[in-house]
Amino acid sequence: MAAPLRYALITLCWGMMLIIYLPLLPAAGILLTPAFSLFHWQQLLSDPQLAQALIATLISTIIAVSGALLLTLLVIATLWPSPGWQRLASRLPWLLALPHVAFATCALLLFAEGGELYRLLPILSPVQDSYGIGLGLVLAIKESGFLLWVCWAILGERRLAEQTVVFKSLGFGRGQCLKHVILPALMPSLSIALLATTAWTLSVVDVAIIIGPGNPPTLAVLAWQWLNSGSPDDQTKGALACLLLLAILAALAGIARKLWCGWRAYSAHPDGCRKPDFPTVPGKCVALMLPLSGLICTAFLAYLAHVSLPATNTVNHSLWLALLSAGLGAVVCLMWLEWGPVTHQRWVDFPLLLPALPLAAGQYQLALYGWFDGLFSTVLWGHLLWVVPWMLFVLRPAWRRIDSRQVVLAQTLGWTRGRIFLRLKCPLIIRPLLSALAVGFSVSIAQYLPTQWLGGGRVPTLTTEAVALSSGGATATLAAQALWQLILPMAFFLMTALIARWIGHLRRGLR
Amino acid sequence: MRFHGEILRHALLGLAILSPFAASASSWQQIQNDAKGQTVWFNAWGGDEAVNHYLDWVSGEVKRDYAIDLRIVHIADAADTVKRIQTEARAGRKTKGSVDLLWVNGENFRALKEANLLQTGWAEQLPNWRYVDTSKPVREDFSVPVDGAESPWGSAQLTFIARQQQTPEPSASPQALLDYAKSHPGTVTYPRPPDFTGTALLEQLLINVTSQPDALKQPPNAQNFAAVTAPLWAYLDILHPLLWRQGKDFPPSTARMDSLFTHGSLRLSLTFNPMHAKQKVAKGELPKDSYSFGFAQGMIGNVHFVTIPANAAASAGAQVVANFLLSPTAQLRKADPAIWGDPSVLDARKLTPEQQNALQALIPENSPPVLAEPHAAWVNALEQEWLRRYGTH
Repeated sequence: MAAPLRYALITLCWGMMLIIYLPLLPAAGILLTPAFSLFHWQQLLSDPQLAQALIATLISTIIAVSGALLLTLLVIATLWPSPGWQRLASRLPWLLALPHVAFATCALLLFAEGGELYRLLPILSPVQDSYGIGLGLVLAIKESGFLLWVCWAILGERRLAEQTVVFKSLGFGRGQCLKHVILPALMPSLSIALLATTAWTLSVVDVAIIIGPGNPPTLAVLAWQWLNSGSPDDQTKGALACLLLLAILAALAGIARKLWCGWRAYSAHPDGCRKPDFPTVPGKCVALMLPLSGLICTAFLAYLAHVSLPATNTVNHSLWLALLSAGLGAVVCLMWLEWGPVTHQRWVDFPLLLPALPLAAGQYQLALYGWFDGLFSTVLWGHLLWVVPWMLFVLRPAWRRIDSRQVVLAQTLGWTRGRIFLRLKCPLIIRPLLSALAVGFSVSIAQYLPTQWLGGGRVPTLTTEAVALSSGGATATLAAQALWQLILPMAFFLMTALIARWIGHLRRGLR
Repeated sequence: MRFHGEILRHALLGLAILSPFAASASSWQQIQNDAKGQTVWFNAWGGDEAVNHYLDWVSGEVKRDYAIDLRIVHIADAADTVKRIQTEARAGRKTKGSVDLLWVNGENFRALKEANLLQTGWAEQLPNWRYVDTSKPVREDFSVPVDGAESPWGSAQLTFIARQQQTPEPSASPQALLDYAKSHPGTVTYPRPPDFTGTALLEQLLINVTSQPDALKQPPNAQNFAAVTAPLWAYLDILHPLLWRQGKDFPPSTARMDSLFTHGSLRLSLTFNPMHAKQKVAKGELPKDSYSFGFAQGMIGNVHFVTIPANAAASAGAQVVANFLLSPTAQLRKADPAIWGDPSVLDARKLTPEQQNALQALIPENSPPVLAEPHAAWVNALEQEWLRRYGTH
């Protein structure tokens, strides 16, 4: 490719990323300004609820993330690579597309005091859960669906499957295979997914209100209550609580990293001792139950819902925002991977880890300065701040694993960079790309704050309506809204899964 | 006849100059003209289908009568919109703001008003202000002077809900409530403050049990807070072990209380809308024999309003909508539990006889007298102290 064109493309792709990520600057200001007030730190640290809220937050997060990881690894060790794994992948959207709030509401209606199970079998009366154990368990199940989806994209490669077959044929068991072959290949790419899951679980508010501990609630709920309070002191306290949650995230990530490195150093190579296979029944059960739980929830919601059709313009807005942001996101991500910096830029992942409120406020400030608030295109721009990092996060590992020898081979055949990009690299990552499109689509569907703020209420979507209606707390309304919210992502997930299978039939190496 | 007409016109002209009422009538005409063709963005809490349907009806009416394009923005919490307006102010957006009309009261109103982010002096100029029941707290919102910065829209009162079958005789006083909790331990509770209904119950009990009720009209101070609130904490110390989960856990909202009440775990629920029980029974969301009650001495109540931000793009249109919301037709429709069931802010005596009858029929029988809220500063003080004492398990 001619050099000037390359420079133009590099400039273009940096320009696009900067436009999308510019709100990080005002957001950092909003987030960090309160941190310099010693008085407010003292106020936060002397709050009587803090200690118990912190414990509940830590317990629920640790249960959720480690539980999700455990379930994921169990299923991978049992099923991958097999036709059962492919079947699971095509059924996962049942769980994935379900909004977290809907899943939590179902759990509440089934298992909580006065719930269906309690009415059938009054002996199974739940005990008071002050430590967020129930919250952790529910999120573990929900998040395992997400982790499995991520792994499905990472494990799509043929070489790793062959290594596994060789390793197993040497007589090593499933557990050993997981430990020595799959995990080392998986972990570098999975770690950012785990980090994002941890960040999300730490800061989740709506789910924690539904099934979390009540007195005191988790730290994220407290922060949200303080931020919504009328008193400026409380608002500052809420902002500091958000910073505290970020600090906890950093600490947890640091500890997990140390543990992982320590464990790797301790058991670097198989010692030649063959351990027997563990039974496949638990893994198969989990693989069956995960999508089934999503299906049961959907059925239960349909049973509860007083269905009324949503307004056509909300469906249109949601659909177009999601399609356009996933499409644009894919273009931006592919260009960034090809013409962006070679090393991984940490700031690209920030929107996955930071709380949404300061980011949306930062975006809104820029939109106000530029007088482009209240427009559809502005909302689209706002969604890209979350859609792009999520899509990059799905695409990056696959991009990294493109065999450089193939690229060299193509170069020796005289292929230009553009041709290599279009004819070699893009087809190689078509499956992760589809997966990323589905993730981008559902991330866009789920956006509430940026849609409401940047749109100034002018661009109502299924989600803004659902969040507003759910604030009343009526179960029937909540169920109906959740159903509408899950239909579009579910359709898109199923579509991408079907296309991926179809491509798998056409290209042997991607099966 | 022509001569007479001429005189009449001169006389009217003279009146128009002399009477402030006529002056405001002509300026109102001007406002209505300005409002024609405007698009008004009304940010309103959208958590109830009944409210949303009512507002859809309002949109149709103002479109037909005033050629105003009223768009409802359904929001989950007015605090979000308050933050948005504050962000607009920080960014120097003095005109063409994103909000024309906002449903608001209490803390959110105070935050906006103290930052000078609202238009003032318009509410009492609305022609339909003449119907408003000024004995209700329509000039003070949680003791913050309104100064015509918001127009009253509906009223609310703290109300208990019980089932005829389980509770034939409602508790008429805090002491009776305590006795009720004693005879049915584990079936009474209230939402955890800072949920506003939970905080309202604290204020209610404080008004009932304190020995210095006059102190509640002023902001609390360090000297008297302990003395004024001591009887409340003594009462709660006895009550809490008798509550649901021994008072170690509290439901997060009244919606959760309603569902525990419907499933039979609780015998009482709480609401801030006196028509809530009627409305939810009609929809089948509460048991059929549910009824509302309050303490005989009275229950605290307040008024909710609509306000216009200082940077609103369609201020004239917003005023016309606010005026329509105050009209007897709109208020009567709103008060009907089959439509929405939000009590009116109008004075029945100022209406025509038919309207009076219609309004009387909608007011629930033997509803308790309305007590005024304590000064707004008590909300935070009570919540902080409650959280310190009971906010952990």
